[in-house]
Amino acid sequence: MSTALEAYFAARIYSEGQALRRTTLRHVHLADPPLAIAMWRLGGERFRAAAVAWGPLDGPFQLAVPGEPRNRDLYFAALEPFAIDLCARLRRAAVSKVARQRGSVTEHIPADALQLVVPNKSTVSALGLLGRYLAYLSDRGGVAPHPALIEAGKHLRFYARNARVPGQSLLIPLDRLVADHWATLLSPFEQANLAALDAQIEPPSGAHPFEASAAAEAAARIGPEPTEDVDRRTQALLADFNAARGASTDPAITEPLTGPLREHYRGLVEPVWQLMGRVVTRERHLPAAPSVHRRFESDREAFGRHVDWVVTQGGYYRTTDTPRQAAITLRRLEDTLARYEADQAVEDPAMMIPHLLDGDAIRGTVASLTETKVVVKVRAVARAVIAVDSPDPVTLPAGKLLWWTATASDQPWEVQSVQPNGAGSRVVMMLTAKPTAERLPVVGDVITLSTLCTGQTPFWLMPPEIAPWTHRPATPVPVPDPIDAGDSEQPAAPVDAAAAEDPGRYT
Amino acid sequence: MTRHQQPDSAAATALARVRGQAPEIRANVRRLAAFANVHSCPTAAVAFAARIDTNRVLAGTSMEMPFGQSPFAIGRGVAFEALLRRHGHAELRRVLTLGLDTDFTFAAIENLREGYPPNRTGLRMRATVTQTRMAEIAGGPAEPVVLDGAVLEADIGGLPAFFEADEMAIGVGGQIIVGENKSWPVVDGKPTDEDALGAALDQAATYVLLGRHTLQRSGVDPSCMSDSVVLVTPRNTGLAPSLHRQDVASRIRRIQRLLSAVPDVQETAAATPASVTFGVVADTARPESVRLDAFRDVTDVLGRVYEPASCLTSCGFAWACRQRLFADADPAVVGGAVARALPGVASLSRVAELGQGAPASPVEAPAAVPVARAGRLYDELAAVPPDTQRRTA
Amino acid sequence: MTAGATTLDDRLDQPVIAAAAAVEDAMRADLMRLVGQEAAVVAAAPAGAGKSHFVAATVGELRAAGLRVALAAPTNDQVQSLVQRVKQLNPDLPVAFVHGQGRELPPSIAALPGVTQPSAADAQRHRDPLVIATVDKLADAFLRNDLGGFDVLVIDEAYQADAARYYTAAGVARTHLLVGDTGQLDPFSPIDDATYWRGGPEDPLQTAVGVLLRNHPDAPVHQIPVSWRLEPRAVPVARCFYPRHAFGAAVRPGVRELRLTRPGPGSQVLAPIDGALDEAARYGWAHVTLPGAPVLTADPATAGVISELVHRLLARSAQVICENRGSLTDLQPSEIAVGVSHNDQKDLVRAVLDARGLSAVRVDTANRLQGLTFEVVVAWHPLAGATVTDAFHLDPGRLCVLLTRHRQACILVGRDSDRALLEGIPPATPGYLGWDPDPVLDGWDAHEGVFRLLEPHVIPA
Repeated sequence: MSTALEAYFAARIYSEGQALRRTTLRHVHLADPPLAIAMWRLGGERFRAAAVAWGPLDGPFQLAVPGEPRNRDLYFAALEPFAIDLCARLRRAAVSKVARQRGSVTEHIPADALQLVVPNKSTVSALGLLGRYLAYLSDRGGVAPHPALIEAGKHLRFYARNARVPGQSLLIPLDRLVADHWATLLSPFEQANLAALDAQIEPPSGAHPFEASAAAEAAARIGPEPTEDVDRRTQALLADFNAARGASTDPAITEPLTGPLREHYRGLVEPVWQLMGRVVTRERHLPAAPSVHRRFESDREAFGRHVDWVVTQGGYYRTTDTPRQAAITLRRLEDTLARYEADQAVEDPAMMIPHLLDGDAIRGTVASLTETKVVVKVRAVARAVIAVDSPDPVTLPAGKLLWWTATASDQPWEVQSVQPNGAGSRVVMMLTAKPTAERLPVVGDVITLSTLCTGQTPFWLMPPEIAPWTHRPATPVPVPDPIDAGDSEQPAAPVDAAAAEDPGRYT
Repeated sequence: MTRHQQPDSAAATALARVRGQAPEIRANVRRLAAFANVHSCPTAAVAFAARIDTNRVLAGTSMEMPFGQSPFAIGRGVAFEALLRRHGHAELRRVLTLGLDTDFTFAAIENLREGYPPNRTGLRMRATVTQTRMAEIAGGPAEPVVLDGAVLEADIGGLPAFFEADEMAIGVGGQIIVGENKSWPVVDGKPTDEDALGAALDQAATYVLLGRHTLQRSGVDPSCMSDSVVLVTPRNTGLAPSLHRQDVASRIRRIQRLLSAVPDVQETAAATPASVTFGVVADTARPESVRLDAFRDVTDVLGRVYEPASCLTSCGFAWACRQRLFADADPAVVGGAVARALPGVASLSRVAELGQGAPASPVEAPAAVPVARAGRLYDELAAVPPDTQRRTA
Repeated sequence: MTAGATTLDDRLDQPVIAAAAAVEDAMRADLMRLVGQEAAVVAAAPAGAGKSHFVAATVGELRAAGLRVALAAPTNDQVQSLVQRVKQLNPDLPVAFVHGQGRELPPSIAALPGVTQPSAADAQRHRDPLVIATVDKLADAFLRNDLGGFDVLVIDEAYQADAARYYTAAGVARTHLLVGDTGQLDPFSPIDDATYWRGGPEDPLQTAVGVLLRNHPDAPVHQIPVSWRLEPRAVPVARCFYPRHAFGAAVRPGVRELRLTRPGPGSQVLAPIDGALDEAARYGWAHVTLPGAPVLTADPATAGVISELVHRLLARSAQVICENRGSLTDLQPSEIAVGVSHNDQKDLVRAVLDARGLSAVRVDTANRLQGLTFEVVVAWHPLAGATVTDAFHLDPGRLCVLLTRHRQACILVGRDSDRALLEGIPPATPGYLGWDPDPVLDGWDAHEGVFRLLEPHVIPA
């Protein structure tokens, strides 16, 4: 992030009354259509969805409303259609494969992957917790939960954890998508509200983005965590529902009684669904960056491995990482982040701007291109030397390696000298490799060079399977309780803030 | 700790005038924590000193912020506490025994939430009992005693306030240990929200600090209050409790600073101009425009300091302040990082002017140059045909 | 004080050195006792404690006992200087330096007798008894089954090595010695949810010492109570970063001296600069404060003051004397460093110094200066000109590195409004179960301590 660029955006958006795009390309794959999920939890209940809406984003959504989500039977009965549909769509997406050559090995990875979109990052965590719960359900009185619930849990958990990978597109929180592609007057904290973001970008005609988003913040209800007014209504409807069903969990009796709750949540999801559709359609307009394909291929590969493990082999994942898994994940995330940052800036001139402002990149006209001879080891080799005139001052030291954006996956140029040149600088650089035609820019062209390269990341070996004694606890760790141990508890009675003595203590 | 003198009636009158008929709120652990986030704002300081409930002042206006809580969240908290108390505090005894390596099966647990009037008098009585019990640590009690709903009295800027600690275990290895209950779960050894955990630890640290002051008043060594506190939360789904122990020494030092930074009621009363009152702002009988204009006028006099993340999470005036900043073209409306990039430049409008070629003054130049450069680069590199910009149809 | 009239022993604080030697002996005794077991000893050292000396001496002892030793550190610079140190103390010891491509030893070190640079496979084939490599290279070689079966693994800078790297390297030996500095910068990752695993046993970003003690809390931890780099005037400020670790300076007061010629007539305009230099020479510290004003991070005025200080220091023919030099010698530009927090600050100061012909003066961020020693340091205060505090700028490790590189004097440059930032309340911080440190709050305390101790040495500019 360049604060000078952010300041420019803020000033221009303020005075012109229009949000600005940060990019000229779309840097994330967007399916047509993706599978959207919106959920509402019961207040304070991290594992209980009061409503789950899902469906392809270009059509109407299906709605799962358990009624009393803290009752295991009702909860599962409501979630089963969602789980079954999710598993079916996911399996369908993994069916057809393409061959992919990796060196001498031919692998087969899915031709597509199921893409999920959700309104915000908190929904990603909420789905992750739901997955954590469903994937590890235990039996009750010898009765196992529907296998689709467990499988769906594994899928949700995979998607939520994979969402950490920079540039991934399997599970897209739309607030992040929009904030990455647009500059607005919203601070990072405020950007978590998708309705506010959307209002800044497309305010009602005549309104300033600031006012539009302030109004949106006040009006929008997005979830997964319900606001007081939403849950006050739920409280009343749920009380009616519970009173009407008695202790029954027979779907024949309870299903018809969920009507009013379904209406309540349908009314909440409807605007969120429209919002998500609007947002995705808008972002799809931009052409995709070239590396989107490669990143989506990595996503498909991970997707394929997951499907193979969970669906074909019926495998489980550990609930927490081992030190080995954490070390591998850390390494992968760091490599992926570096590559993603480089890809974005190299492919999209607008994304190079922060690097230019921070001094990690230079842009200027090629003033001259000459060949020279240098001694490498013992032989004299040909080397190309260019001088680039930058209108802005450059403060890079001699010896710095820079990659020309056109050859960012190839060899770098080494800074030989930086001299003041009018208001800017003349930077002389030598290509550190054989000067073939593709590697050389043309005199008179305006080119960009930066510290970012998109070449292969260095290969690293996996750490040992068995942890060394240093990373193993001296005393064995006790086996944790099953995640759903609390399912048989009586649900807590809701307490309205007006009735509580000191409601603030329960935040 | 020196006790402030009770504020005189002139100060009380002045603050009552500042408050007008705006809703009142006494200082408590959460109010303190919220104040810490906005402590450099003069308006927030005056509102705190005058014990104004900033969350409710703008009720009925478009600037009212949604700070309410779901009844299910509250109910869960109530139920969790009830669970800990059921059957003679069976669950509480169980987790304390496991977590503190001391047998609490037969420990005396005094429930100070029952049997006392639900008002200031009751709090005062509970505070007296708490102080007495805590002082017994000096005698080296044989069995631990647990106070459920211990109350600590403190002087906050010159006014007495009462703080309720969820649990206090007196006599664990010669120490008093503070316990805090939260109904959000710990899953796989981690809380689902690290900021909520931090806030809970800060609350517990507050009670440790105030507990030390209470011990000092009784002439007991304050180091009897342990630096490490106990957090009781449900594990996984349901409400079955588990216990976590955490050292909060550095948080205790932070709360010490917080208490020293709290505005003194007397001084605030003396320093606040007579024209300042939140009465009109809070008057639901008046039109919104009148109320918001009054907000503008009052905060113009006092001064506003706005930082999005801090203010939007901690103060009910944040939307209204944000509105003012927008009207003033203040760069802080977007957050501190942008403001930091614009030293010497008065407003966003001015930045826009500089971007369009207006000459920069020597003070503005260091900030103007990179911003102008950003603009040039943006125009050069980010040109996208306007039609694809935003239309969704 | 005429250093020439005394011996080296007279110039050193013998009780402090003896106490440190006793701790080091105890550490070695613990280590020798534990050799052969899956066990480790931890040595926590303050800045400039002579860790490398201790490590080199310990390696010599281990070798003398016939044990096969692997010695590692996180960075290439660190392992190269370890080769040098080991050879310095143990001239007859063969050392095998295993390195990555393009990371050979500089010729001066490579030429030392007994130093070889074999491939990992060759080192294993020859059963080289002492192998020095970076933690990454050692781990890589171990994974390829090239290198292993050592008796002892010694890791220097173990508080800067992360648990992920340690995981793989740990397998090369059963017994470990972890030596490091608790005050300096922690392991860091650029990913934006680096705290994802924090508090859990699996956290790959906890320190190597952290994961060891978490799983094996009984491992002996020794605190080395000496600094060889810092002299008595510097120790109290350094102690801000080691609240639970007492240590003294090895060198006695008055042994080290920075001498400057008097400023000539007509140099009033440079009075604050000269005043700061004189203060630093006299007290070992100076804190130059520009008037408080909102400024950019890479503030040109501050860079200008820093460059004036460096230039004037040399212009006044600075000379230094210490326990190692018998007489006053000219201060070399390469013995001066400027420490900053941000790359754009570094670029700015570098450009300004280069323009004045001072390219030999080192300018770098704290990350790069970790572990290095200079005679005089000019430090750009991390909070200089800030309007709010945040985790990055409050980081105690960063300030610790900036303020503990110097042997003679350190001049801190900031604004007179900086201190007021710490008059408020530290920001609210997140919590992590099972992880007690709080870098923001610890940093606040450390920064406050430094402001307080440097108060008598403030020079307004």
